[in-house]
Amino acid sequence: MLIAGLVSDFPPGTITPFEQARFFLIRFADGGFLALSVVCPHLACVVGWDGARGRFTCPCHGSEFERDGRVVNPPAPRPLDRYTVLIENDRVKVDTRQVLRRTQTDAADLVYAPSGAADTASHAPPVVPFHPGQPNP
Amino acid sequence: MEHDQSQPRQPGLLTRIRRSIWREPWPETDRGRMRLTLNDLILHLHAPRVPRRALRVTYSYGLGIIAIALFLILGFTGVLLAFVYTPSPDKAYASILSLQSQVWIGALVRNLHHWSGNLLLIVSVLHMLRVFYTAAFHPPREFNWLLGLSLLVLVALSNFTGYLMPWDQLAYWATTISTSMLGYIPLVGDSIQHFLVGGSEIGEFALRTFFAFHIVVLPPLMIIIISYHLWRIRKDTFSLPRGLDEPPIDRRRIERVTTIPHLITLELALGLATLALMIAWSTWVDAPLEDAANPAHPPNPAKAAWYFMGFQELLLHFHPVIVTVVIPVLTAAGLFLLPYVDADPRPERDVTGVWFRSRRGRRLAALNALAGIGVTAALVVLDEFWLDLPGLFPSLPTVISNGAIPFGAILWLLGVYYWVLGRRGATRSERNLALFTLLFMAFVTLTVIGVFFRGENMALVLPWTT
Repeated sequence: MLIAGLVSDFPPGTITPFEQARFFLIRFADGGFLALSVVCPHLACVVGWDGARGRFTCPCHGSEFERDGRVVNPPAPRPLDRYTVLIENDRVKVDTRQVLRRTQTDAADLVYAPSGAADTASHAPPVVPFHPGQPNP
Repeated sequence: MEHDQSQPRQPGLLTRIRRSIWREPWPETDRGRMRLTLNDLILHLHAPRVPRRALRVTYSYGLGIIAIALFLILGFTGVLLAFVYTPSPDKAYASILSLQSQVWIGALVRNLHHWSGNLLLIVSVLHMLRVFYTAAFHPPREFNWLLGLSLLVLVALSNFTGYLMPWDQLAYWATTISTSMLGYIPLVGDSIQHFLVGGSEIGEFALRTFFAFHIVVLPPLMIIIISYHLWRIRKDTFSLPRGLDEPPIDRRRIERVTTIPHLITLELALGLATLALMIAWSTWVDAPLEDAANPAHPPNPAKAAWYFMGFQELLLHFHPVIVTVVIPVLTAAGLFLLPYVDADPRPERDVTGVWFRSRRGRRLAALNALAGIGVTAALVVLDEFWLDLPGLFPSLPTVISNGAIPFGAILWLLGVYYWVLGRRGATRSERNLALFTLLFMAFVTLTVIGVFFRGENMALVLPWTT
């Protein structure tokens, strides 16, 4: 179980790459969290976030994915795999032990913080807004 | 003591050693040369005499001989490389760097090995094309065609396992992609993948497996099959070049020359020329080496070695099951069965030795080569910019919408085309030639598109704009 940071470290509408643990932590505008594997479900290349186009792209075979992991351009045969996100005591935790395959994206995959959670920033990885105008390095 | 006169005089020690190896002196007569061919372990792979016509260089282009010369260069340089290379993910790249900078002529040896491997693949394919287009695989040479195909597969596998060795970016991502492809093979895919990779990620285990295949498994297999392939030429006899309107050749009435020196001289000359050319090329052109492997960031675009770019291009357009399973199985089945279904058994319809079979065959070859290029390029552009099959059939699984539907449509069109050619009077052999040419040029076109027309994120680009 990997502690990603506090809820308030991830403003709505941002994507945070966790390079070592090989996942992206996405927080949607409505506050929902989603952890997506960086490993392309096509042939295991590593996808990157293309902020200019608002998509995850694979440099090996050109698959493209929405920020929820949905395939917008084949050849990827299924959405990006995800990891379970847990929010406990205002902490965002990602269970990186078990990668979850899926054939369809599902709004139920998103995890929300319980209402009334504290909003204090802490030391956390740098966040990347959805549209920084530059592809993620 | 009196000197014993009865004991016969022995020749000198050197003469005795030489005679223990070669029983007879170097032959001065044709009879002796033929006997030498028959009695020598390696030479006896050849017949003692060969038809003069079979030695025409504009028929065989010496491609088989060049391939063997390259194989020998690869064996020799490969042994040298094995002394300095370390097959471990954290040491492999450094051992290549030190090979290139610290070891005497290390870079030259690596260049020779790299370029000979590349050229061997090209020469093997050209050799196959020559044998196909001159119908030299027709009976009685069917089985040697199969041996040749097996060698082509082994050469491709050797090149593939070889380019993983430096553990640079190309190596790492090619290993990742190719072993993931195995996962799409039904039933046995996961076990094969596990056997090769040994875990969820590419590392020590995978590199050692590929290293073992590259130096211990594949080369001895190739030596055995090459020897068999050569010996089969002797047993099946050389196919003979023939003009377009020339009647079938009466083999009992052709001129034959002794293998020594006529064939052997040709072989040595071509072999030495190949060696000279490879040394010259490798002195000036360095084998590529990308950055050290970085599991976090693939290069963008991440391209395979050039000879696999046709495959990679196919992967952009079809569901992986089509590319990793269906296409290889159909291609292998077609090529392996070809010699048993292509020839017309009637002796007067024998086309062995005639380039492109016939006048119609020549026309079909030219037309289908152009069609293969044009249609493939058009389909790639269509799929890139307009066609979105998974979007068109969102309820279907992608293996159907992006696999069975487009690939089935292509197969159906090819079937219709084959049938139409037959209706218009083409023989079966001419129809096969048309289809083979179309598909081969399609693959060449895919390779060219993949190598030159794919840019960042594998999007289509014009090479002169980047």
